[in-house]
Amino acid sequence: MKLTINEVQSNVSVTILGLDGELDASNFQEVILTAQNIISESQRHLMLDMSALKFISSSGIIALHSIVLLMRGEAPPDLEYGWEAFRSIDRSQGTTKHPFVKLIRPQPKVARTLEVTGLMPFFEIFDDVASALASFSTSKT
Amino acid sequence: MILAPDPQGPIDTTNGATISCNLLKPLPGWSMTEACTLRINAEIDRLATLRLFVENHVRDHNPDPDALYDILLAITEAASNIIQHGYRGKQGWIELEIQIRNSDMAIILRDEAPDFDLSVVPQPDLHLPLHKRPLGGLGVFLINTSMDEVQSRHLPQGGNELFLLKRDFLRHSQGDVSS
Repeated sequence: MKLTINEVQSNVSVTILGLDGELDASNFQEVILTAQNIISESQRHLMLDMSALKFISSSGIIALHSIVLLMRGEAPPDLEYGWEAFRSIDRSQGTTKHPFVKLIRPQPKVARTLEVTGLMPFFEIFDDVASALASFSTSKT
Repeated sequence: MILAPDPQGPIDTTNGATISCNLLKPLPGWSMTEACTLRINAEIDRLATLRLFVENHVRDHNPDPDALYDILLAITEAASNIIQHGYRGKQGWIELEIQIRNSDMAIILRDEAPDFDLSVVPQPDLHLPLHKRPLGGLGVFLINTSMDEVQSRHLPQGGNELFLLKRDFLRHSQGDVSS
């Protein structure tokens, strides 16, 4: 899988992490680590461009969940994962969408996996970068 | 006897992988069965090889894209479980056998890992709030939701066998006249 990082500037500074290829147990930790590096550089607004992500497994779901936790300043879940991993996110924030992590255009099959695993409610999803960027501008910081 | 050509594509057979396409024992109730088998080392970096093997094999059958995705997802989850929870870092192998009959596809995964029974993993209830859902494997949940039939058993000689069935995985039925 290929990862790309781009910075865009609007009212706020936003990093776009592009996921290109197939996300599974062989590479999900690389995604978490990349997001961790982005966040450690004080970036508080993140877009995940999923338009080129062709496949996502449960490990990829855990990666997305971990990114939300990292953006909240929490440790990612233990990699001995399962439904347990979702408990902390619900305890801390209910089922509200995270205001500073947005998904860009996940492919329908990938979106279906997000849906059936119950992760969809935690993300705002946009068709393009411009509309996601605009939504950051209206988010409370 | 070779029934199908070797799958085309860059499957790396230099890392312990073997491929064979043979007339294997048909499943009960099935007639002539086209079957291919891939054996790989049980390494997490080989998950993509399993998917590529299936994609290459079914490419000429005009698969339904959603059904094929479900199959690839189930295989990925099952193999990940074998590697991470079965072998737990120890060396081993995974054998993936695919059988196609008309519009159905059967997948059989075998390993020699210690016993691992998928049926004991609780199913999450998606009607419950997240924090009230029972614990269990997300991967097993995806296998069960992706496939029409899931059966696992321990092999008498040791190891495990997981049987997965996807019905109507072809975009257009090629006409099953045997029923």
